[in-house]
Amino acid sequence: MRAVLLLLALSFPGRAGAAEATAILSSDSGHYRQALEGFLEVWGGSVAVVSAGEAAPPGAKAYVVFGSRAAARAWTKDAVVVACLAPSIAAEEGDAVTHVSLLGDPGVLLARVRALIPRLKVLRVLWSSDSSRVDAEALRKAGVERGVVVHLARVSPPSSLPSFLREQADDADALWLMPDPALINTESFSILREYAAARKIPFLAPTEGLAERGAAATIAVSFRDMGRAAAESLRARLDGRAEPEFVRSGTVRVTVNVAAARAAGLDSDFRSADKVLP
Amino acid sequence: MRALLFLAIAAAPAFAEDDAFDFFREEAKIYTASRRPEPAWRAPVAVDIITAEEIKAYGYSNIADILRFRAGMDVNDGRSSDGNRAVVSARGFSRDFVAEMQVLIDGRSAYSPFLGGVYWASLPVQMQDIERVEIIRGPNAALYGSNAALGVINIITRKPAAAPSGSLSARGGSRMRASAESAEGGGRLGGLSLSHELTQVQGNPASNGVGDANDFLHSNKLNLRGTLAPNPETVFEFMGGVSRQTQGIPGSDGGQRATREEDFQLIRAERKLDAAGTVEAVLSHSELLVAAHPLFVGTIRVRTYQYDAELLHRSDWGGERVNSVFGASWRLTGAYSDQSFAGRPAQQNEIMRGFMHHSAGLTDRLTAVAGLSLENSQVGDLQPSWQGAALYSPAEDHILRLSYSRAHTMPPLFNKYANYRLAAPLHLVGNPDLAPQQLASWEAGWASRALDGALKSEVAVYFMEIKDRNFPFIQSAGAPLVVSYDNRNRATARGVELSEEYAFAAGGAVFANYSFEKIQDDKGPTDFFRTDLRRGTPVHKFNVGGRALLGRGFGASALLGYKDAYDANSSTRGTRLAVARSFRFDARLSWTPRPDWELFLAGMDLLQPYRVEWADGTAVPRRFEGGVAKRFGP
Repeated sequence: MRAVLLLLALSFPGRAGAAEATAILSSDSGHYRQALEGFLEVWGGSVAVVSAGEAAPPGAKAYVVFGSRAAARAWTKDAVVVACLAPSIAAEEGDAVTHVSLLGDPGVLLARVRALIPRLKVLRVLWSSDSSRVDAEALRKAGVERGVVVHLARVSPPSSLPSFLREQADDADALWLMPDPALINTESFSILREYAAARKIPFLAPTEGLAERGAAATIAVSFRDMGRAAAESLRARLDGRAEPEFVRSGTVRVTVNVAAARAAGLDSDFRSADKVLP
Repeated sequence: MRALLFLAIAAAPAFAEDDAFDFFREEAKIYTASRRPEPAWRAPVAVDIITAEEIKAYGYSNIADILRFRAGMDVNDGRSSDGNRAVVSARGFSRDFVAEMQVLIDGRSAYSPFLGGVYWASLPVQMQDIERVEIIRGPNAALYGSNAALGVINIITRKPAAAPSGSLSARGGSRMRASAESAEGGGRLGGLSLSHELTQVQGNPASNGVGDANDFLHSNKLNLRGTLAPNPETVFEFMGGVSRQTQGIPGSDGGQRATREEDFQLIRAERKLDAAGTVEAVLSHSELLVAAHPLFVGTIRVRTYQYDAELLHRSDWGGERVNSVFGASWRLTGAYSDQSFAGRPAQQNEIMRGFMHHSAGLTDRLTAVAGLSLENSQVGDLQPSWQGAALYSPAEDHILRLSYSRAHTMPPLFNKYANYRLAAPLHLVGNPDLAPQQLASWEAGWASRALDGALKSEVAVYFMEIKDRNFPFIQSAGAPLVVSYDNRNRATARGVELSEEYAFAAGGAVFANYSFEKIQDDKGPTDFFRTDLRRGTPVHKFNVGGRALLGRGFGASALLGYKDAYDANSSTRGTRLAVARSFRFDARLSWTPRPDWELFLAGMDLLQPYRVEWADGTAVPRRFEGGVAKRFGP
């Protein structure tokens, strides 16, 4: 399927200016390509693909951009832009960009967390960048609707994480790490994993591979699904339908690291999980 | 290019599973939230940060040693008077009281307005409480006001832990013993911590390496810190401390001593105003009583005090491309001494200051920085200080900076108002017309990160000019000899600083740095103390160090420092010494059998029995220490 889609895309580069949409990739990294693939699966129209360092084809008006580097352009007022996998770009009032959230639908996310942790009452959410504020607030509001206290804990600057954690009360039933590039790296991940283990609370992370690195569970929208959501949103905008500033995929996958989850005191059979790691 | 991209996509056999961190790593290094490059290392000045993890791993036992092995720093041990035990300066100009360097503890100035400079061993801060130390080399008066010309040392202590916890530690060895205890706890609304440290440092040997120079220091410090966050947008902080030191008087018969008693209080309130930024208000007070001056016959008493009030507003605007700081502050500082200010014992200085500092991302690669401070005081009148800088990022992970700064240094109250008749036929007289020194600095720097930030490289090249430099001169050569101060001298300094740091594993890192500095002045060694500025700073210095976790709970670290020869001048003793070039080598081995226990062995100055670094008649001996620390709670 992938080969077919890519061959279809390959058939358009010579007529880039005539393409219905222009996809801009920050780099050739696998995560952006996965999202592009998801986009192509749903889009159905013609697409010109360029890299972030290149100029867009003349006359292009509809864009899907993958990554913050690609998204950080000065867009013209009449441009229709959907930004995907661009967590470092903060939404600005009146801008032409629709953002596909890395978080996914917060209501779905909380429901899946609760299925995993039935005793969940307080969820501590760690975030840092201004660009994560909207998603963090959305999660808090969803918590209010579902009877979960979502405690937003902003780590600023990210390097203060160890001391920041020391200052946090021991009242959380789980720790959720926002998909915030300023906060997700091997060092902070290791600190959070040890912090959660010492307190025997589940450490939840926002991208699937982190379960293999020791998070108790990941609750994540796949890069491919974000690409699909971007295609639907761009189509809706071109069709003149109203689209929210933030698009949130409801397709949220749960992966459980059984050893880490058990160590954190979770004793469920994890039937609600999409994938279970021993 | 487009075709190549497609070929690359089509050629990929399958989307291999990325490292889980790859995506976030790539996003983090491309852009920050503000859409302009501004990670912490992309500052308009040379900044060096030493974390609590490094302080612990290298086993530093005092603040001067934390600063010793860093680029551009001059640390001379063996300073024996006034509660210093070390002379510390950034970018040269070492002397008993380095008036051009500001030292802040959690934002509160610890600079002494009486003689100028900082009493390092007596600072009301405990080693166990330090979270990090920031060294800003070069002038930063636009943000920090007067006396921040050569640099700023910002000591930041840790906030209380929320979970009930505590610690006990004890260390001892060939020259010192110390114990420290802490207890803390809190909840979601805030926390409270209490810490205590008792230190007894033995007197150093005399400069020939034998005997005891009677410069012992016994120190007792108690610190309290509380935080209260009634809501996520508002934080109140309270800090307070009392300390008492007893120190020997070098050169005396061993029975003479001086006492220093200090207390401080600070209240800070911070409120986040969402889109409008953050507002911060700080009130603080400190007081120091020195019950004897260690140098002269007879008792001298000095009381110094300082009141501070500051209001700050920080905000991002212009689509978060512009970061602005506006501030206003008031400071009342003074000293009371019947002996130093005979006839008019109460001297004080009231300082009003307004300042602003802006950083604007002009393009994705170019950032402009500008700061201005206007300060009006009784001692210095109206003094503007300012800073302008341009940061250019030619490629990811590389930044070039060019800056020009002007900063002034307020003369100490003693130099301005002294009327001090020593037992010896010497009369020190202040000069009421003494003006602030004026420093101008041109600096170019390059900083880069590689290997996903594991390898850090920095280069700084600078030229500084100090006009109206304070100059002690003989006003009258009769009996008594009358010495006063004026602004007759002018000095320049040019230097290069290189530093590399590589973090090769969790808990493992190596670093190396090299500093070159050459100082010139118009007057040469013609002042009363015959201070030779040109030889007062080592021309070449380099330091290397490393730390690693060895497995099975063992950790090791080592530090090696080299200093060129220089002349040490002690103005309080009127002595001058040609110090030979020297190496210093420290090593430490630790064992952590459980996460809450640590045992260590350490050796300092291991290459020779003793070294001489300052002209106070004392030496710095080889030392050995061992210790144990236990932590309670998470």
